Amino acid sequence: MRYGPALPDEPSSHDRLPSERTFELKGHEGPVLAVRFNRSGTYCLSCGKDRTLRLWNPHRGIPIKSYHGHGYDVRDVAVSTDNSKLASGGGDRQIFLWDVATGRTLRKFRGHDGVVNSICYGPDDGVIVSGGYDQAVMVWDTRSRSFDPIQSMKPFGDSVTAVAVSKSAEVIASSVDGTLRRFDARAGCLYTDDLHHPITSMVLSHDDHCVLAGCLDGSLRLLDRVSGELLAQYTGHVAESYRMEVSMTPSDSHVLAGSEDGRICYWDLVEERMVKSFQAHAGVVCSQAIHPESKCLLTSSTDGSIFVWQ
Amino acid sequence: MVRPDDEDVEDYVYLGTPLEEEVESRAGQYAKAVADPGSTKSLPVWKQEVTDEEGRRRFHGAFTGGYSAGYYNSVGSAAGWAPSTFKSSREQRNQQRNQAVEDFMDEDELAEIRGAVAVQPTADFDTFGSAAAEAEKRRARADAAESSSQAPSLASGSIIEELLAPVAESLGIRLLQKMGWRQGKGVGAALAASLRGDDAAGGGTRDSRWGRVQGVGVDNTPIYLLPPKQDAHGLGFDPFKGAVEFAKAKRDREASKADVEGLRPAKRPRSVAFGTGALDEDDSYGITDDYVSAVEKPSIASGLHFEVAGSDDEDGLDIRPGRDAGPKRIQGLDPVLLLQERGHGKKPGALIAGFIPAVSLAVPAHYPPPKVPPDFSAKHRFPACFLGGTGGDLGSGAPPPPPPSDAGQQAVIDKLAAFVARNGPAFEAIVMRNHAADAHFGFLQGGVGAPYFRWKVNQLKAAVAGGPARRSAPLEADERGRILGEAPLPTTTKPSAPLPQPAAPAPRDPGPAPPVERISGPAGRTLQLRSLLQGPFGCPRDCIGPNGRLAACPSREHGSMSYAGARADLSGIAMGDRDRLKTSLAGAFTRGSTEATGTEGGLKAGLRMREPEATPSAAALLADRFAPAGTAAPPQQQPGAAAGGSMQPARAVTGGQPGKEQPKRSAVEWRPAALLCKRLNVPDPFKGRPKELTMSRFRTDHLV
Repeated sequence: MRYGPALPDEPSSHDRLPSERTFELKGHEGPVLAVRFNRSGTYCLSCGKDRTLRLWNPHRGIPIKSYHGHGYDVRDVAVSTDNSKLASGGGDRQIFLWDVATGRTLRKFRGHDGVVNSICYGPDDGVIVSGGYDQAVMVWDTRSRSFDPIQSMKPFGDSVTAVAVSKSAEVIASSVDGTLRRFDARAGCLYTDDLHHPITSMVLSHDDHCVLAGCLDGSLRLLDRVSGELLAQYTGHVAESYRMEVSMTPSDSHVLAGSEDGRICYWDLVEERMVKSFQAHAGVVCSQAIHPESKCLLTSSTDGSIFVWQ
Repeated sequence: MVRPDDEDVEDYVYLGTPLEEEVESRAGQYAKAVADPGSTKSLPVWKQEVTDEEGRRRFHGAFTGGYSAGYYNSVGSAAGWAPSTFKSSREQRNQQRNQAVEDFMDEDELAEIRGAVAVQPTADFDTFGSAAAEAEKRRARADAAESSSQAPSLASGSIIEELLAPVAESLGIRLLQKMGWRQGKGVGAALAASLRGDDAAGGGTRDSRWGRVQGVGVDNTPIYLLPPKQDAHGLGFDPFKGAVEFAKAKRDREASKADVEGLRPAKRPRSVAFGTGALDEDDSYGITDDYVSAVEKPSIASGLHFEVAGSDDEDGLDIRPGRDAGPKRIQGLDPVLLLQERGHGKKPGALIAGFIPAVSLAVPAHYPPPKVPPDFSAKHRFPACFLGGTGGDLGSGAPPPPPPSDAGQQAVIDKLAAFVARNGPAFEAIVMRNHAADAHFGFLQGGVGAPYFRWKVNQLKAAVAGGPARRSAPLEADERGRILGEAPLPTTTKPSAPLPQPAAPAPRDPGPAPPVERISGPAGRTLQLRSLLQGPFGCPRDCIGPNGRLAACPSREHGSMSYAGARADLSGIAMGDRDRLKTSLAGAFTRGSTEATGTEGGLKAGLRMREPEATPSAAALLADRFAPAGTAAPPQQQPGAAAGGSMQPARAVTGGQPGKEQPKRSAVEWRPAALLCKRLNVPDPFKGRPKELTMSRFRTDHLV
């Protein structure tokens, strides 16, 4: 079953939002800070405070492999397009580049002065972009043997919480200082959108036109990527102190975010109203990942549980 | 041959030498009779043969004590020499044992050494003073060591002095001395006399009637002294630079003058000066005074006038003058000591050879002190234009000239002074040329109000020049207005009525317009001297409703648009101002080539141009201006505070959500790394050019 734009004569489009638990992925011994699907959605990865990365098959609910090597908690993980490499970062202040098959670290990029909060791959896996507590976004080269960042951008006033690379050669990063910064490499310009509230997570829409930012004032803000205009604002969940992720459904028709009371909330993107919410975890929903194609959702919580929803 | 039977067995006849028993022969094969050492000593060396106690030949004691020791077979015996036994140093590797010559000497040699007297130079016969110099160096070293032991800290004294102890006899000097060098001589092989072309001299190794004559070492390297500075020119200044013939003429003049005064010796002397170091009692005497001599014609090419040569011979007479660096006597200074060849320079009245009695006493010229004018005041007062600071204290030194009585004339003077202060005297020249006949501009030619105009220009110039030095940000609009003497807009001075009242009149014209001064430009156009700020920051047309009433700027739909539109207006006005200035100043200034290589000019056509950015202060000001026009916000807001909060009341008017603040967009230049651009598959927007200096070509940009 595939997503699609909700047609007007289809009142029950909300039923296609995953809300039924199918599996629980057991194995992590502490808060699971991030869950990620791979590009095609066949496998998923999780990382957490138990300093491990785990590879799962969420559709059958079985663990495949675990990756040990981090000395501190792992905050974020990213998978390359060809599924051959992983990039993870966390309290080590380093970016670990893993070989998926062998489970060995290929390289460690050093340069961050603080905890690495977010990692993503650039186009064609040529670069890794990371943002951290050291108020910096760093770009790393995966093709050369250099261990130093290509560039480090430090205009932030506080910790960088999320990074993303758009298809039009832009690095977008959100920070606790309430700004959303877009580094446009084509125009050579840095656009700063001040949202006036700390941003804990940020995600690009799948069509690259919008940026969804989760702010600590209990609202999600949808901005136009190019103009920075505030398009919509979504409220109703609890987001006051935790770093929780936001996401958008593959068709960009709905917005979902975790709540500090353990719920998962869905909003209609255009109408700005919450269409569905369900209790997913007992603790804070740290991270969630939505399947790129089918009706499947992964959620992780501070109690160490990972659930697969359909 | 017949033989008897019984006798046949016994009676053999043996021919040849019977074989001896092997054992016996081997044992004493090389044995000789033990010879008395006393007897063999008398024999010549090649006949002596060494045997041991059993008469066996030995290899001259090569393994037991050396050739000579074993030669006479005395090694190991009671009378012989006992070699020192080998002692392994494996156990005491860290204990370094210093071997001495005495370790390898026997008692006879030791006894010789004990009786010997060490030969050392004494100070009494220290001909060249080298021993005294050595002693002095040693004493200095001891003093240095003592002082360093008193202050042992590395940090307290000079580290170099502590680390590098002065060495009286360095390794290089020792090596040179081993090779035959001695103090006061030059370094090199002894010159042959034939090479020097001086047969009479004793230098060089040559064969004479009496045998080989050892040559004399080369002369010491001449030490050149620069001429003492005796003129009144500045240091390093050469008045004859590039005019060699004048310098030559001057030298010739001086030389001829010396000839006239009779100071030049009649015969060419062979010696120039005596070497340093020997027979010097008083070092404090000027070295140039000591060794100067008036000989030869001065060399033209050389700027080195003196040569101090080392002593060559004990009599000091065999010193040849330098070949091309001829000595030159100091003008106005009589040579005091001239050590020359005997008989040379001996005047009839001179007592000693080489001494020339002074003709007259050298009296230094006396110059009277300058006369102080009677009206001189020791207190210096700077002109007012040199005094820095703000315009307020500019005229503190002198009272400002009174402004002209006509208010319009004063306004014209003020405006023109502002422009002249900003754009330089070229602007003034343009205005003066175009308005030569205009009575209103008579102050340019020194008419009415000229002193006030000058004073105003100087004041504004000081404000403009002193401005960028002490502020890092561009001038705020308020400051700029203050400098230009502008009145604030009526919209900000008069808080408008609360906007929700529908009956509140909102004038389309933003209040009573300030007086517009016009100055005819050079091209015949009028220069709007009205403030640049008033145009864009008046109420924009977009905010005016169809009924002529000022509508609230709806934040959601209109806010960003009007903001952007106003920004475009601002940039347009700035560009218009620039264009006017460009055209007016085109004849007076030559533009540099920076514009052609600018960043925007180099961008590809497909690339998006960067928008002209409003400065943050301008943006803040913009928001400040908008808020009072649209809302009832207090007019006297700080620009920074107004920037964030000005939209809030507007939102309340439109009925938006309370927490829905508009994001604030700002853009700055950012230079991606070249590799990042490559990885992101985009061309480098700056093409690797370095960041150019944010220095505008227009002074108005610093003012805004």
